[in-house]
Order: sequence, then C-alpha cells, then structure tokens
Amino acid sequence: MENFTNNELNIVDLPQFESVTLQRLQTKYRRVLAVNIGVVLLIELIILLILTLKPEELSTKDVLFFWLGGGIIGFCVVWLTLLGFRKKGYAFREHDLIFQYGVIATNTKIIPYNRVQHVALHEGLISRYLGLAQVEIYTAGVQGGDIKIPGLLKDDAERIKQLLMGKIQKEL
Amino acid sequence: MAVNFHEPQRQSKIGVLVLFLDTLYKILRGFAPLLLVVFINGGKISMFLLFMGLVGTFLIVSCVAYLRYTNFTFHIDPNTDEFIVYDGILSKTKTVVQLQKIQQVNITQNLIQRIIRVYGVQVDTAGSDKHESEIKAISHELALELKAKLLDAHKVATVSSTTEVDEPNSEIKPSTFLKINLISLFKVGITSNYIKSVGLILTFFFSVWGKLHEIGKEEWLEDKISEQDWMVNSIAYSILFGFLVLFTVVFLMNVVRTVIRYFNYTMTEQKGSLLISFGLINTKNTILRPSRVQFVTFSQNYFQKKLDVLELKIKQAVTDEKNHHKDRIEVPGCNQHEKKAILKLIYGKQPEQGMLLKSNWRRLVFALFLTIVIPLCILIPIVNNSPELQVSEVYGVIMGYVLLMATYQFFAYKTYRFFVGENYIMRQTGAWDIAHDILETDKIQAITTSQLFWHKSLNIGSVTLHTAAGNISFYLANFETLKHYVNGWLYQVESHDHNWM
Repeated sequence: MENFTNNELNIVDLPQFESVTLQRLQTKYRRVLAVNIGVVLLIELIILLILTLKPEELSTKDVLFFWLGGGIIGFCVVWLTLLGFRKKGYAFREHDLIFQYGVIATNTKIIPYNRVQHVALHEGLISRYLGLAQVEIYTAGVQGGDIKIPGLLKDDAERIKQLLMGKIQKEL
Repeated sequence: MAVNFHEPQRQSKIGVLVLFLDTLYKILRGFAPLLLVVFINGGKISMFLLFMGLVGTFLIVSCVAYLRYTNFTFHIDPNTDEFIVYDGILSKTKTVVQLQKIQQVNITQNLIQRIIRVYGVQVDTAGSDKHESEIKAISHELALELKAKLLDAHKVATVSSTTEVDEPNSEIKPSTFLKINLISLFKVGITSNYIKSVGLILTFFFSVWGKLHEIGKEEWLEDKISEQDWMVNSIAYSILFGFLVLFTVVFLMNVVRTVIRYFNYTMTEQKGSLLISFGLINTKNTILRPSRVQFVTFSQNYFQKKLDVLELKIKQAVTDEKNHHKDRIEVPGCNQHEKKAILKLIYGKQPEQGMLLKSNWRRLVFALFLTIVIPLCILIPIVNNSPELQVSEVYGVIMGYVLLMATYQFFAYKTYRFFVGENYIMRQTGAWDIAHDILETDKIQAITTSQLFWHKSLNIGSVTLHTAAGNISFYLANFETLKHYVNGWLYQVESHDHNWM
C-alpha cells in the first residue's frame, strides 16, 4: 500500500469491461440442456393429453386450439433455452470476473475478486457423465450478488476454483 | 451496598408489579380480537359474568406474575465465570452466558419501569442480535453493580483482548448523541405512513368481519352500517364525512403508533459506535457500527420539509439471514442538523453529491404502461361483461385512478435521479416521500448492467449495485455513461482493499 498513488485519472483510460472477449460455454453442455428441455416437453405433453382426451366435453376447435397453444409454448421453451445458451459467456480478468447472460435483456454481472466470499463446484447427474461442472461464486451481496457459470469442463472448473481460492487467500 | 451475586438473586419486590403489567399486556394482546367479539355481543353478558371475568383475569394474572417473580433468579457462578439466569413457570429455562462472551450490558427503563422506578438489564453477546437474557426489574444501584460485576470479570479475563467493551462508568455519564422528543415524533406521526395505516385499518375491519362471519354474526355489522341512514341521503356528504373520519383515525393511529414504538429514542455515542434505545412498552436496543453500515436512506415529504423533520434508515450488513430487520436502523424523526451529524459519524464527512444522471423518458412511459395500461386492459372487459355494474360510475372511478396514477408517475419520474461522485453514489426516488439513498463506492459487492435488446440502438440501459444490505438499481439511463461509471467503480473497488464491513 505504501507505493500506492491515487492520481486523478481520465475515466476513458480505465480498462473497459464491455470490450472483453467472452468465453462461451462448452458445446457439450447443450446435451444437458436437451435433457432438461426433454423433461419440460414431456410434462407439457402429459398435461395436454389430460386436457384433450375427453372429446365429449371439447369441440374439435378447442382441441386444435389447445394443441396449437401447446406447440407454441414448446417451441418457445426450446428456442429460449438454445438462445440462452448462446448468450451466456464469461471472462476472468486480472481483478474481477465477468458473466454475461440473458435473452431479452443482456445482463453483465461483474464481481471483483476481493469481494468473493467463497466458491462452490456443482456437478449434476448428466453433467458428471459428460465431464462438465458448474462453478458458483458467492459474494456478501444479499440479492443476486452471486454468479453461477454452468457448462464448464470439470478440469477448467477445478482450475477456476483454485484461481479464485488463491485470489481470496491473497486478499486475506 | 454489597450484594453477593454468587447467590441466586431475585428481582426487586416491587418488580412483581412490572411482571403483572407485562403479563396483563401480553394476555390482552393475545385476546384482543376475542374480547372485541364478546364486547360486540354486549347486551347478552350480565354484569355478574363481566365482574367474574375481570376478577378471574386479575387473579390469574396475579398468580402468573407472582410465579414469574419467584421462579426468576440470576447469579454469577464464580467457579466457572458464568452468568446464570433461571426463568419460567411450567417450562423452565436456564440461560448460561460466559462472562468473557458478554459484549454489552444495557440498563434500560421503559414507561412502566419508569413509573415503578425500577430498571431492566439486558445482556448481549456477540453471537446473535437478540438479547441473551433480560432482567425486568431491579433497583438502579443493583443494576449498576451487576453491570460492573459482569463487565469487570470480563476485563480481568481478557486484559490483552481487543474486544470492545464499554466501561462500567460510561453508563454514569453517557454522551447523548441524539434524543428525539415527543414533538418530533408527533410531527412524524402526522406526516407519514398514511397508506400503511389505511391498510392496517382495512385489515382490522376485515379481520373483525371475518371473526363475526365465523360465528354467523356478520349481519350485525351490516345492520350497523345500514342503520346509518343519513349516509344514503347525500352521497357527496357521506363521502366527505367518511374521508374525514378515516383521516382522523389515520392521524391518531399514526401518532399513537409512532409514539409507542419510538418513545424516548436516544442515541448514545460510545467509542465511535452508536447505542440506540427506544420504545414505550418494549425497550429495544441496537448498536450502530459505522464500519458495518452499507447504505443510508433518508426520506422527506412536502409537509416534513416544512416541519424540518426527516426519516433516516441505516442499513447494516446482514449478519442474520432470518432477521433482516435487525440490521436496519430507523431514526424516525431528526432535523437537517442531526442528519448531518449522523452522516458525519458514519462517513467521517458529508458525502458530496456527484454528477447528475437522469433517466430516459421511456422510463415514464414504461411505468405508465405497467400501472395504467395493463390494469385497464384487464378491468375494462370485466366491467363490460358485468351488467349489474353502473358503467358510468365505474368509469368515473377508473378516470380518477388514471389521473391520480399519472400524476404520481409523472412526479416519480421527475424526482428519479442518480448522482455519481468520487466516493459516493446517490439515488433520489419517490413522488411524495422523496428518498435519497447514499452508497459508498467501497461497499459495492458486485455490479450488474442490463440492457433490453430493443434498447441497444437507443443506447440506454440499467445498472444494479449489489451490496451486503440489498441492491440499488438505476433504470434506463444513457448506457455509455453508465458503463464508464461501472469501469470507474470497478477500478476503485479493485485498486484498494477497503474493508466493506
């Protein structure tokens, strides 16, 4: 801290978080998403079948209407999930980490390393089979101060965890 | 007066009275809705039964108070250096607090205790925000001596420790930092929380109605209402009268509530921390540590500005997930001068207001869309499909709502401002109660920027600052400017290692 200076600086010269090239999630992760979508669609199908399998109470127009609506919802689920996958990205800078997500709104969340409280590593059932993992980074922020990066290679996730742990240790 | 605290001690004898009133208060609070129902049934209860009921209650409360008195003992165990409190009639509790762990001993006095001239003692440890043990009624000398004993042992045990403990003699001459008098509380009472109070009245009304409904007596209330036949005579007159009654009740309720809750609000300075105690019936104590403060909000409406009172909310880092409110300190009524003193204590100086950033006009349009267009889209088809409704009257009400809401949103948009300074970020919100949030840049935990895809070409977006006490967001401002600020904040947070707690 002794040789630390705090001169007035031009805000344009600061490193810009928005011009960082983001890393994308592993393409393998799409298989996990596919399974998730499959489950959702299956549930939707069951609901639709229950609703429409009493033909005496519904006219053909109603049945058609239900199936059309169901189809649109199903399509939206698939489309949003795939687009959501494409939109997710992360980057590790010298002093902070960046995570971008969101389809309708593009959200960019930034956590400085000196605010990280702890790091957790999650593996789902399918993810483990594919050798993928999810890293979760916690801060003391009470509402939405945390970042979850899914679809990382297990080794990468482990390395990220080590990196962050190292940063936290240094801060302490 | 030498008291041997090593032997189990009882509270002072007169303390039975405190316990009596305390028990009575708790019983009354618990049975209030039931009593009301009985009262409404009025005529059917004979005087004899009423008398018996009163005598019975008196006897039961006396017994409970006496048993609470005899079963409550406290002492210091010299062998293990522990403060031990026995409590309870049927389910007994033994509270053991290690003397070393004691952070704070507060001597308190609420209204009842003041009348009877006894004092309460609250013992706090670091672990939780609630009081570890509380003695309800002992004499002042005894309280002081107990406090000295409790903290004395602590000092002997941890001479080298750096734990902050207030000196026993600091209680004798505490430096009062701020004291809110009745007039200020009255001012706050008549100028705030209208909507909350109206809500409370409605809830009360409906809960009484619900209770009556359960016992099949709701006609009683309906009859009472229809009995007021003058109401039908003139709608305008009855509406005016209704408003008058409602506002009187709201005023009274607000004043009474504010006074009960914040009576004798005192802030005492103690080694850079503030000790806060308030309350008429239940005295509450909290500690404000400047380093734990995450952000400060002060709010003021037009009347309060004229009367020079403002409400201050200080949010500390959340330590207990379940008790968020414990980390929020409210100063119900202070003037500009006192506000500045509090800010100075927390930040060491007056936070400077930075560069102004305003929101895009689309923010107003979006707010109007949410609060007017969507509700109307749902309401109008319903109104048109219910033939029993007087369409013209309903549309009158709807028009009134639209006008009111539009005015509200317009002023809310007008006040919506963001100020970014070198070390402080401020946000101004509200239409009637205008609130200012002050956030120190170093307290930022994480930052989220957000932009809807159709706002990309317009170059507007939002930012959310995550702190350990909640979020502060600013919506739909120039995105380029926001991103510059974000880079600046990140630089500030990352380049020095300030403690945020």
